[in-house]
Amino acid sequence: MSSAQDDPRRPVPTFGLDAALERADALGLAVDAEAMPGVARNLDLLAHHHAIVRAAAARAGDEAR
Amino acid sequence: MSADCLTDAVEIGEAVRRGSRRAEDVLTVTLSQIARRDPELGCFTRVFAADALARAREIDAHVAAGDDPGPLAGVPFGVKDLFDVAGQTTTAGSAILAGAAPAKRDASVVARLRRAGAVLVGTLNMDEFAYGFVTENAHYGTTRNPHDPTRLAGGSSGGSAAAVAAGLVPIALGTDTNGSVRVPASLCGVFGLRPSFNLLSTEGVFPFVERLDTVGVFTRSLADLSAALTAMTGAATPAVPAAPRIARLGGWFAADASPDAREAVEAAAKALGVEECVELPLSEAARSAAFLLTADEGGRRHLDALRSQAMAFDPATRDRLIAGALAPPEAFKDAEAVAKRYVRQVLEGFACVDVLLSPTTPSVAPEQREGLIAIGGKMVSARANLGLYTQPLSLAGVPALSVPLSRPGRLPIGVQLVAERGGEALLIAVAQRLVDAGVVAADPPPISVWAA
Repeated sequence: MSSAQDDPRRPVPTFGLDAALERADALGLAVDAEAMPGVARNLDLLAHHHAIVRAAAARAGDEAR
Repeated sequence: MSADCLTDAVEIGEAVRRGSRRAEDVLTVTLSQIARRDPELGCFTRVFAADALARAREIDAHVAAGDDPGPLAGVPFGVKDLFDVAGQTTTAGSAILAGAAPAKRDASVVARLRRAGAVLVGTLNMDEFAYGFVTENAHYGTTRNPHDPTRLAGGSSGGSAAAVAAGLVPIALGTDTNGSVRVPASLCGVFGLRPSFNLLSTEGVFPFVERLDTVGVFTRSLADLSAALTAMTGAATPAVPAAPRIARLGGWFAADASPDAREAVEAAAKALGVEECVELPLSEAARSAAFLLTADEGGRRHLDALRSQAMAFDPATRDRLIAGALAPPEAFKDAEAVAKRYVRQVLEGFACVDVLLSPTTPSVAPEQREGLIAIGGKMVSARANLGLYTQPLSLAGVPALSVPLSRPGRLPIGVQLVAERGGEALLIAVAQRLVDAGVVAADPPPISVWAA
């Protein structure tokens, strides 16, 4: 799978845990210590997929220009 | 009655209609086989033995009175535990819904199968709320693969696929949002159809991602698949092109395929005389877009329950749903834009081709203990990644059929056949060519009604 996550020169994408916790507070979600590692891992996975989507969007923008 | 008779829906239906076999006998043997085999497999979450036998007796009475009970008379079937069944609680694989009020009526497709004479025998295991490709459920257990019980059946409709593979029922319903019919069909070695989006009604089906949710069906033969589909659509099979143009999918659909998956596509391509290769360059991004859009809708759908009873979820589902709820909204907007572009790309791809071939899954069934598959030289979660080749195509709403490569004694793997919307009959016709060539068949697994 060619992806941003597999390229060691690029930083692993992240949404930022602090920002996620702020959103949890705003939504009234109590993310407790037991769930935190799993949630953080899944957030990183979503950030990884977002990086792929953004890269595709950027390529489309380049082609349009 | 021999066990083999129970695995062919069309044969059962014909025999019961002409009175040469009693539906009650068919159901008695079916229930006995489920009692004997299912404890090792974990396919069923509930078995409606008394109701099934009572319905079978009604069908026999209709036949004795000279009435036609329908083309699927006395055919046992099971449904993923997210289809409404009148008088039963729809759990969607969750403990949270276990105390919910029973459904007042059958889901539309369940009602249609019953009207065709089929007999519902039970509900089948799934990943909680259909969020996963493994059918490991913290509340209802793990469904094991009939070809090797140390390996995963795939998901999220894993109970349905494994029950059909083991010969416990000839027809089972599942749902396919990102590949939840095609993935377990591939790993369990049966036919699994995701029809065109909205061809089959989702009325009475617990939703996951409504823009993608599609009712699908598992069988061990194409004749049974056609019969079940016709019963649920009520439509005659349309004519198909005499010489369909077929190509294999390259790029994303070939890059990370295991040797088993490559072998499967090679065998199918050779039997069909396929030389052309088509690429859909946005497939990787589309897969990521589907991943994000699924997380977004899943997180929003279950937000209230996550607030009030998060610890009642299966932990693996809970963590994924919470992550979906907490991801920034711009991620989903970007995913939406890519999804729209990909749908156009897929439709353009069918301008010069009628059917596309790819692996259904990147590999054979992984070991349950590890729960990992190799992708791009890394070991990654099977729960999230078995849908590598099914997930992007779901966005386009096109029909896709996973057909089992015949390889007796080896673990099964499927080939995915994809057509334009409305192309179900074409997919079945192409699959029949593969069956006729001896390339595709649902080989009997060691844990099944055929085993000693």
